[in-house]
Amino acid sequence: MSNNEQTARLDRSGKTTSISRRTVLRAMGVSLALPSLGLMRPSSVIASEAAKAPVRLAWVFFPNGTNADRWLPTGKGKDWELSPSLAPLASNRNDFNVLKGLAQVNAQSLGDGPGDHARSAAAFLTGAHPFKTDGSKIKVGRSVDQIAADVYGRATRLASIELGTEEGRDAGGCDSGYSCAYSNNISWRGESLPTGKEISPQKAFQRLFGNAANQESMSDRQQKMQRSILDFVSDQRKQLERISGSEDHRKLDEYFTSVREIEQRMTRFTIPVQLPDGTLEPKSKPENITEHIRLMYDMMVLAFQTDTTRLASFMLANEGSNRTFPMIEVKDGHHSLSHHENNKSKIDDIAKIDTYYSEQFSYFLNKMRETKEADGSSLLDNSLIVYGGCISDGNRHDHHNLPVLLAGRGGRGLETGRLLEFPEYTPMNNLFSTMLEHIGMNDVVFGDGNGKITLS
Amino acid sequence: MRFFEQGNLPRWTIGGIVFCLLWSLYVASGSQLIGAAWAQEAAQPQPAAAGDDLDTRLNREFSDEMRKLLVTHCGDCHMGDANEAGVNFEDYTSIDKIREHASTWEQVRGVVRADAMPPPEDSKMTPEERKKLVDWIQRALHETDCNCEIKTPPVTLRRLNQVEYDNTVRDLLQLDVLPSKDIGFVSDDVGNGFDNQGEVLTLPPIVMEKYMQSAAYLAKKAIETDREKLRNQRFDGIALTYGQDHRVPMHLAAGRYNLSIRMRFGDNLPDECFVLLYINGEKHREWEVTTKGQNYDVDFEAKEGPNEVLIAYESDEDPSKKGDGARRLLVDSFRTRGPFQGEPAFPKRHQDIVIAYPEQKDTPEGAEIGFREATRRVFAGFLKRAYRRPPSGEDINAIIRVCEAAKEAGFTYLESIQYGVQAALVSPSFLFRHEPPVDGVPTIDDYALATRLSYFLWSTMPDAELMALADSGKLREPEVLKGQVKRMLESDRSEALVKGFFAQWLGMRNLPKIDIDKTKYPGWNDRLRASMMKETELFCQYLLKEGTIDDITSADFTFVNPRLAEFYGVSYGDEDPAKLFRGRGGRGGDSRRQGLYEKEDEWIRVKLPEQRLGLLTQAAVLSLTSNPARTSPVKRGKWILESILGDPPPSAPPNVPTLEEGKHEEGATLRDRLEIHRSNPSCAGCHKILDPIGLGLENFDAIGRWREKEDNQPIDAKGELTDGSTFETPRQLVSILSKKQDQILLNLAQRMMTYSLGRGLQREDRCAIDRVIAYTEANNRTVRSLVEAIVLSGSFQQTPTLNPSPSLGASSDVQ
Repeated sequence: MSNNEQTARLDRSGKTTSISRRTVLRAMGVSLALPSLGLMRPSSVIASEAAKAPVRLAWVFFPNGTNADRWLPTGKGKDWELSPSLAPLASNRNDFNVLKGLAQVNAQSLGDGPGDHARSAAAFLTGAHPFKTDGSKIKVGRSVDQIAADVYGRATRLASIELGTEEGRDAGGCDSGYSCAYSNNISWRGESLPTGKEISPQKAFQRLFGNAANQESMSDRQQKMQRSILDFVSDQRKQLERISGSEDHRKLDEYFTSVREIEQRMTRFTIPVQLPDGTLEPKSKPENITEHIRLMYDMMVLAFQTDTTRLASFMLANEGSNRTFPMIEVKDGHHSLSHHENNKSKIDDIAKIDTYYSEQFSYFLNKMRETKEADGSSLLDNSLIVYGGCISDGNRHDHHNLPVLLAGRGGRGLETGRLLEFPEYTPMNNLFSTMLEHIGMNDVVFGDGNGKITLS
Repeated sequence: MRFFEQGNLPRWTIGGIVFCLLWSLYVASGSQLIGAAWAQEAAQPQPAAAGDDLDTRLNREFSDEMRKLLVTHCGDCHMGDANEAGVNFEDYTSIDKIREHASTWEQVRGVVRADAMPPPEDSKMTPEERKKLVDWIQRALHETDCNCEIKTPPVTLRRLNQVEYDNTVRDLLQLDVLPSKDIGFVSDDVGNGFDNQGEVLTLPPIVMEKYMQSAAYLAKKAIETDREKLRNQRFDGIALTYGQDHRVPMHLAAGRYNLSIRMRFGDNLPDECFVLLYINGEKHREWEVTTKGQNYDVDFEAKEGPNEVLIAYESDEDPSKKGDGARRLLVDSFRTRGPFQGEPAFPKRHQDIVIAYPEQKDTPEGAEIGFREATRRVFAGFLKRAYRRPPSGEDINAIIRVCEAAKEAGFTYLESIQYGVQAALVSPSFLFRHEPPVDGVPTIDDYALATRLSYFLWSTMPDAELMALADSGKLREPEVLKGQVKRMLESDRSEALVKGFFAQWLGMRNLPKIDIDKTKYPGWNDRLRASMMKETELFCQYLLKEGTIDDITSADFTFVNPRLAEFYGVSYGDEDPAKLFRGRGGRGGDSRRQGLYEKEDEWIRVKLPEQRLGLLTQAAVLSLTSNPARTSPVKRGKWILESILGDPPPSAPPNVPTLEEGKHEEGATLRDRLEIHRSNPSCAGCHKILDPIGLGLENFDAIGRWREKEDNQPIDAKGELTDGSTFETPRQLVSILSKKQDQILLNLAQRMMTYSLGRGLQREDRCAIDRVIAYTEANNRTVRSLVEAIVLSGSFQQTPTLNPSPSLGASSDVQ
């Protein structure tokens, strides 16, 4: 993709929304051509890491499985064919590896009966088996992004960001006796605590750049009051000591832990962020899902580019989503189509949706490739991005042979453009442990992980 | 309840019974823990013989009979090394173990009952054996011995959900804002079918961040810090049609003010309209307003405190054009300037909070009360409302410390109060519904009860009346409680119960999110969707205020605006609704009805057309149980079984087996295709329960419109339910379902109880539910009596459900 502003603008806009795209993108388009992006990073970071750009990790999740025949490419090593559903990624072929053979076995029923959708989102980044419950005692495990955030997130304004496009369903159940918390979240701050996700591009922007972007920065005495209020809150524990059950204590722990995290972040929040010239926050609601997804990808790029965070997760839709895709002539809902019973037109529609999501991912990869770091490398060179789902074939609800791409070179010049096949049922968590090595967390084994995988 | 845990008494021993009797005495001695309403309905206690309690019986039956059945009929696949679908019955040696894995056993019960397992094609399990096993599992999971039930499960500390938070700050701060939208809260998770369940209302850092932001935003709006700024105020305008008027309440200082109203009459109208202005009830001015927008100014004398400006579109030059949508008085804004002398007044919301100033001199010595005393007075009042209970001295001191820090940092008194309010709004005492235990009594205090009641019926903080009753200690008196339920349901605020409980119970909140294929259903548009929603809401409001449980399946009326009247094919009062359509002419006359109807927002009660009956055939229900481009008999069947009858079918097995494609013949109807589904034995069991119900509603298309044919083939809505009853039309189907009133009531009671408590029901709640049902039965099965019964129940009041009580199933004895 060209750096020419005009071209870039058209590309980003997609086919139908060229006029309505928000100014943030245009502004970014302008700045993307500028070489001096180092200026946009916090000075403290530049000072400490002048030589080497930081590594960023991201996880992009799609729901409901795929039409596996059209999604999974065939071949080996450098010699492999792009599959029909991955065709939009042709120009990115040399920027990612296809990983075959990975599994999240803890998404399987293991005696808990139906509920594969809920389990698959819950297990995707945790490798843990969610406790089947409609309400009480929710529990799965911590997710890789949050394990990384504990350590790696300390350097940046925000430890991590979590994005999505769909609100949680707020009525009824989500999947066969599982609480909606499982279907709606892939990121788990604690084993019983979903991290929550931002679905509005505008709010995500405000959260990332808040006072840096559009408000005058806080005066010293205002900051002092923020601290006083946090002190006040921390002291409240005494007031609530007389509570009864253990569950109540768990709730209060959530509260005070969150307060503490915000306290710790206070100092980091004073790190100034300089956004690319002319960047404006996205206004109002996105007009359609394409724009919505792309704006969220934009937020990820912007967050990485400014080093506001180095860890991101993005749910393209909630697991079990029944969204329709009128722009590609798919009028039935994604989830109901995924139970296709081998009906040809439904299988075709699934492939169309898979292709559509690949197209959006290509948009993201292009942008990551175009965005240059201070040292001249691209954001993509310094990232590892997992793109995948936790069901392989939507009709069968398999949780092995998962559809997984790993984009970027991880700051270590990882060779890309290959198809790597691992033994069937290799835990996906082994991939995650390997990714964590790239950010200096060398010996993390979690969930059902039992080692690492070889990417070289 | 902690009392019992400490006692560590064996539950089903003589000791337990003695204990239970002691409790009865305690209660009888006038503590009023249990409402008299229960006492009069209660049967005599039937102490169970020691050693023969329910669990012992169930365990014995398990080892004597059930295990044999499982070995004989299920063992090949689910015992020893065989571990099909991850279920191995050898893991289960006792009833406790079974209860630990209740969801697995619910599934077992479901599939055995539906003949789906053991696989019918080669199973020798007799219907009697199936029934025996199914009944036993049902009892093991749900039955409890009500003869001496001693423990009510606790409610986990509940964080306010988005709706509750929005409503609470609206009432607490008198602000018309929606912080959950303005700040962009992360959506709450749903558990047990509702968004107010303590255990799933988690609080990750992002949520706390939003609360911090929101508190700062709200405190700024609630407390004014610049009095001079208030000399100029702006109030929002409105559009009025002929005969309408509009009131603007203003909180002003005594003195002379100028009022400037910017308005015009319609767009490009040649004539004008007559407008009257009233101030504090007196006619003040009369204007002829033309189509040209301009300011209309008057000076007036305001009184201290509340004033009211009223503007009325009094008459029209051309009365024949009354109601014409184009002839509207468009009021852009009201602006006040004043008072001309003296200081402007703070808004009421501000004055209600800032009730003291450091400079005020009302100490006995006539000295200024000072900063600390002023903040103490402010927050003694404010915190009682914010924390929904009288604050402790330390609660107040903690806030005073924040205010003092602000003062030290150089902020003014009012800015310090702002920070104090901000702190209170992020305190756990505000964000959580804290129910501190009461010393020596296994219950919650009256403030906690007032709070439960208020969030149950209104989704907001208790109002002054409830707080006063809690102050006086009278709230627990059954007659007082009943009176409050009546008052609260009659208030407009009970709409929160419709939008909270009913909308979630029925799945209505999913209606705004469904995608309907407009090419296939050209009549579908967002106004129709909104009308469907409103219809069902109005119906639920009716249920709540004057309806009975039976209305759900047998009401022969509904509520319509002209749009829905045309949709249903009924007349709108005396009018033909089609003639009320005011949308665009030309271009095919707007056949999709995207434009407005006259009286779009006027709802009337009408008799349903022949084909429809009750709630189940309302358009909203039929639409939200469809797929975007077609109906889904499976979803409709499942919805009725699950939401209305409370008897959901077992879920589809993991790894759904595929159907061979060849069987999909061209032109096969949905019924044919489902028939194939049912020819597969592992699907048949459940689908023979689901499909007939869903197929019986096939006369309604995916947006709930009546149809006789689909794809030129006549709809066949005949069917037979598993109990052998047959029907030919949707209406007959609903009539058959309406005979299951006991089941419908039980389900509704359980769902509503879950919502009211904010937790899933447990076996121990069974006795409370029995009483709720008995009470409702005894009160003509009105929905209101159901609400009343829940509020009076031990589960809601967090008191032990006490002996005596009617045993399970005996509820019909109560008259």
